[in-house]
Amino acid sequence: MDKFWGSNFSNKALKVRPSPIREMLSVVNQPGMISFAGGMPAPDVFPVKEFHEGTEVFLRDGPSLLQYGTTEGFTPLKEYLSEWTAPRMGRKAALDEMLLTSGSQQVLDLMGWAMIDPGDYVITEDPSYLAALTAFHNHGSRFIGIPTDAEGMVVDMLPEKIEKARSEGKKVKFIYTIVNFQNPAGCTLSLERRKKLVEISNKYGVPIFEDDPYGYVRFDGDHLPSIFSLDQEGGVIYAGSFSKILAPGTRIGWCTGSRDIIRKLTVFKQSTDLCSSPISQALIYEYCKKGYLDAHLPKIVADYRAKRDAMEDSFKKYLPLDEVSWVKPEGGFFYWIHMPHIDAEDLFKKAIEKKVAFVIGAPFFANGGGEHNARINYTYSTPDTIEEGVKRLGEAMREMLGKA
Amino acid sequence: MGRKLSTSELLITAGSAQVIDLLCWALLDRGDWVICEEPTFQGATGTMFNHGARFLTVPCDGEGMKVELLPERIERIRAAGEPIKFIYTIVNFHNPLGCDLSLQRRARLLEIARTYGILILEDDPYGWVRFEGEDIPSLFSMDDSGLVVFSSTFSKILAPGTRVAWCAGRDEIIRKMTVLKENVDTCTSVLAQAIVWEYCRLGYLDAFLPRIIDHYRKKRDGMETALKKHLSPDRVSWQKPGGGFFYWLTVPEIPAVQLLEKALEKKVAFVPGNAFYPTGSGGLNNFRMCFTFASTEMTDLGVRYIGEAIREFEQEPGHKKS
Repeated sequence: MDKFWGSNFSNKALKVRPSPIREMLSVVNQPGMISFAGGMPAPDVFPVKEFHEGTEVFLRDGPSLLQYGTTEGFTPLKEYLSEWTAPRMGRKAALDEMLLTSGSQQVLDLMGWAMIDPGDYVITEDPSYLAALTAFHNHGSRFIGIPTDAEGMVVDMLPEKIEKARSEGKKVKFIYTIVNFQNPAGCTLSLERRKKLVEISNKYGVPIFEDDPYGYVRFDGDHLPSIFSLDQEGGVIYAGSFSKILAPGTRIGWCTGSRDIIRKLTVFKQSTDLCSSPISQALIYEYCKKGYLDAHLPKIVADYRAKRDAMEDSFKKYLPLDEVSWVKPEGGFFYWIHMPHIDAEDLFKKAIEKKVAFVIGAPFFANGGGEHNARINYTYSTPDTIEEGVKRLGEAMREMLGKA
Repeated sequence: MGRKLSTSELLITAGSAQVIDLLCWALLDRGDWVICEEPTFQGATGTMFNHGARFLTVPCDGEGMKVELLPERIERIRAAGEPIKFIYTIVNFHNPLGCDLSLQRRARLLEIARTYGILILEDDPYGWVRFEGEDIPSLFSMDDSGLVVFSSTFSKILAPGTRVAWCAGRDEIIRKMTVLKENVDTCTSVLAQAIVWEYCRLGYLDAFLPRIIDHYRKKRDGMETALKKHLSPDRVSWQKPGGGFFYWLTVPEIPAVQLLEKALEKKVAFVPGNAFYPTGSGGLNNFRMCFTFASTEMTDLGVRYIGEAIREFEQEPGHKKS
């Protein structure tokens, strides 16, 4: 170990693990590999031309785009979002109830700063989004995991878990939920459970962090009102992102919540990256203002719906149906499969040999589990490669079962 | 930098504030000590403070950090068995002092850092904005042992709105900062990096930088002229900066915060010095003025108002004069 750096690493640095998914990129980029691994949007649905149109704004407002922006974010974009999200949010949020961020990952980090002291507990779905678990963990949190089923987090388990934690002197700081088309489990929190969650949050004074990067990418069924819109007490913070509805390269997300939490997040943002790119924010605003956000989103949804359908059909055709189960996602990016007699890590090695990649379930579980789960992304591939990839996966599974 | 860096020694960040945030993630446990100049850039120490740093401050003079004071301070903390994790230094055109760390002091700083095994964060956002004189070699280029992380940014040499900066250091620390960055913001804006790259590739970074420097040099000259014209040298002192963005003024008998109140009445603003002292005390008779933003005419007007404010202050009953 380097005598200067390694021996001076903080405890967090010693413990932090790189994202296994990001680490997989080199494996996954091997020639001929069909990757169901990364949660990546398809580049062919990026609105490149439409986005590029917005660059005229440089000639109009160049000096202000190139200057430091406010930490709070580009006001015209905030105003647009306030209006655009109003149907889901139940009302138009005021500008000081919103913060524009450098991607919604930043909301996770800022919530860590604002809410978590080392040793505090965060309630999450089990499984949950890996980079959220790591972000909270880096701030020193521990986790209470709540299982999910087809209707999302089993919220009925919350009162008992919260009461038990409190009786043990544990501080439960917030409930983190990826409310629509959860990454990795694909499920959506039902309306009934959303209402129940708000009730529980209010009763116990535990705020809700509603993370919703996929909510606008719905294929079937009706949009559900956000948890934010169901709460009157100001105990919900909602996070959204342009990554799946426009493109991830812009690195702009947002959050909406009561003034005191938004203010706190803003102050911490000052110390982490000063302000998000005014250029990105202005370009996104131009794109939205020209009507492209609304015009293009259905194309994204249609593209991904076709891929989801291709995967559903391929699963039915190629996977050993008595050994694998799944819930068909109504939107979002992922299938989450359960294979009680197959170890996901072993399957992964075999799958790679056959040139198909996915993500094993274990990293998504804060307190262990997931050995028999896998997350399968469909958005990045084409329907043809989906079929081929699932065929290879099915072969790998059958070989594993043949050996068992 | 003294040599070409390999890509594994570089990390591109969302501005240089993020370099400090990530280095703190990598190195600081709560309560660890950081050595820094006094005064220093409060944005940096604010980030370190959030990570739980305690500050071991070192006074400065016209040549920068008074590095000879370091050994005694370091030994005191070490005797208490407490970790000192890094030295934070703004080597060129210091914010807020405007001075450079002299070559001699750079060599001595490295010697001390090596002796005591303490890492250095060399923050250099202004180094390319030099008006006269010779570039001084970076700490990074003077050190073979790998204990320096160098940080700089496109903010002053291109524009701050790009939000693109970088740091360079040993693979091991860069790798660790990268892994920690995954959970802070996933990745720096690809869009912004590509735009900056195009700008550089087309030769504009090199072509345009002299214009930036020229523009700021004229403004620096404008402020120097205005200061000499409107302020009395027995009341106010300063050292003309050879580059960068700032003047640091000393007004021995006037509390800067009260002077600011008077100045604001006249619609001129500056930053009182106390803001730049991480331990909270100091700089009561100092203030920082940025010359890069206002025009030469506005600068002259503003400094004239400050001169008036100083005179009004002195004429107030109860004001002591030396």
